[in-house]
Amino acid sequence: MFEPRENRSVERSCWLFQRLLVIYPRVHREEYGAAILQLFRDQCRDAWGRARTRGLIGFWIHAFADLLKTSVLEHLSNLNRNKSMLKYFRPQFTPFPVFFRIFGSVFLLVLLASVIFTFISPETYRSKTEILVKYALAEDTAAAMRLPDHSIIQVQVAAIQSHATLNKVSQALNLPTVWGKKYNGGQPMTESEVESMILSKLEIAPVRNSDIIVISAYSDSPEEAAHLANKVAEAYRQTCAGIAQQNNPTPRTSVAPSVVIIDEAVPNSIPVRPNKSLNMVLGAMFGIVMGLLVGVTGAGLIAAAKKHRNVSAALNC
Amino acid sequence: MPTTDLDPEELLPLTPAVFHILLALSDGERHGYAIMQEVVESTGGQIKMGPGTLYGTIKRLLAARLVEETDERPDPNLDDERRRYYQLTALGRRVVKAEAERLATLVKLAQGKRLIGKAAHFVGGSHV
Repeated sequence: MFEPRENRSVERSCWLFQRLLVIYPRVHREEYGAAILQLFRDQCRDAWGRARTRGLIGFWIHAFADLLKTSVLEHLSNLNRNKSMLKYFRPQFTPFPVFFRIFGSVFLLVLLASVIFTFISPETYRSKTEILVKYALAEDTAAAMRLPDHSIIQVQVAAIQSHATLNKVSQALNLPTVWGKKYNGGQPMTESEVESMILSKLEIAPVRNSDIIVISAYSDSPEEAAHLANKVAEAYRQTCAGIAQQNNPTPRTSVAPSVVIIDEAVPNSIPVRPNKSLNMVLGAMFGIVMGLLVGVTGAGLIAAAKKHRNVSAALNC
Repeated sequence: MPTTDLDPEELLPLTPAVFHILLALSDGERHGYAIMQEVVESTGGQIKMGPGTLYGTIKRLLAARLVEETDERPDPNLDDERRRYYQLTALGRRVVKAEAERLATLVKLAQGKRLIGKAAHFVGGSHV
């Protein structure tokens, strides 16, 4: 039997402590709340019995500090328990490391392939010659021809690629022999083969709104590219001059243009192909795309397999 | 996993709260308040666990299968049926024994270094 005053003090303390238990996680409160409150009640009585109000205050300080400390511990413990449950039933949170591993592997693989491809690809050099094409036509002749500017340019481009021009280039550079050794196992190449190859190495582009034509030559040798571009320009100039002499017209009525080489080609030591920077960027972009595709697919498949395995293990089946 | 397969050494060293609770239960099953009284008495009042600490520790001991809750009451007529009783498991007994031996080894070591006398008695964690 307790004294009324003890009863009131202890009961008020229990009433307050019971409300403070709300700071525990719900699961812990439901499982141990009643037992904790029972123990608190017992300790309250002991404290009151030892030193009355002073003992109760001292116990309250100790119990409140204990409540705060253990509530934090229980919340942390609850979080860890939830994580361990997720390991079994929510494996979709774990594939991120798997995804990044797959993504990284694929990305590096693609990037490495692009680097290897870039550095084993044969280098191609380009040299450019610029020529100025001028017609010395009388106004009435020009009117009679009624050729628009772009058609005139197309005629000149065709003339540059003509047999007359290319044959001169071939002879001047002794290409049947030189390229025969290089591309034909030492056997001389035919004129038609050489001309086809020259054409494949040429790029002829008129400059808009001008009478300038740019002749670009490509080769695995900077020097050969420069020689080729310059010889094509020179051969075309000679061809035009030859036509003008054959027709023997006065300059006023000549249909053959005069060609002036305004910028000779020089060997360019920097290759235009492969474009290493561009290849790296493209390789990286392709690697990202492939990494995303393979990573998402692979991580999804692995997660599905793990989920099946973990759930089976959790259910012991 | 069967508890007999666990090596008690893997759980050592124990925290003071865990050791004293297991020690209190080594004599037999007890409820929370009785455990608390036993700990206070055995340590001379030096270790006082709050209710949150006691039941938080008991929860972890239950999870580790070092203690178990009992359904039977020593004397239902004399006790509040809301009280929950706990007792050591076989693993819990082996663990508390291993911890006691570990502490005894430390005491011997301290004695060998003449930090404490061989006839020293321990009361509440401090020797007299």
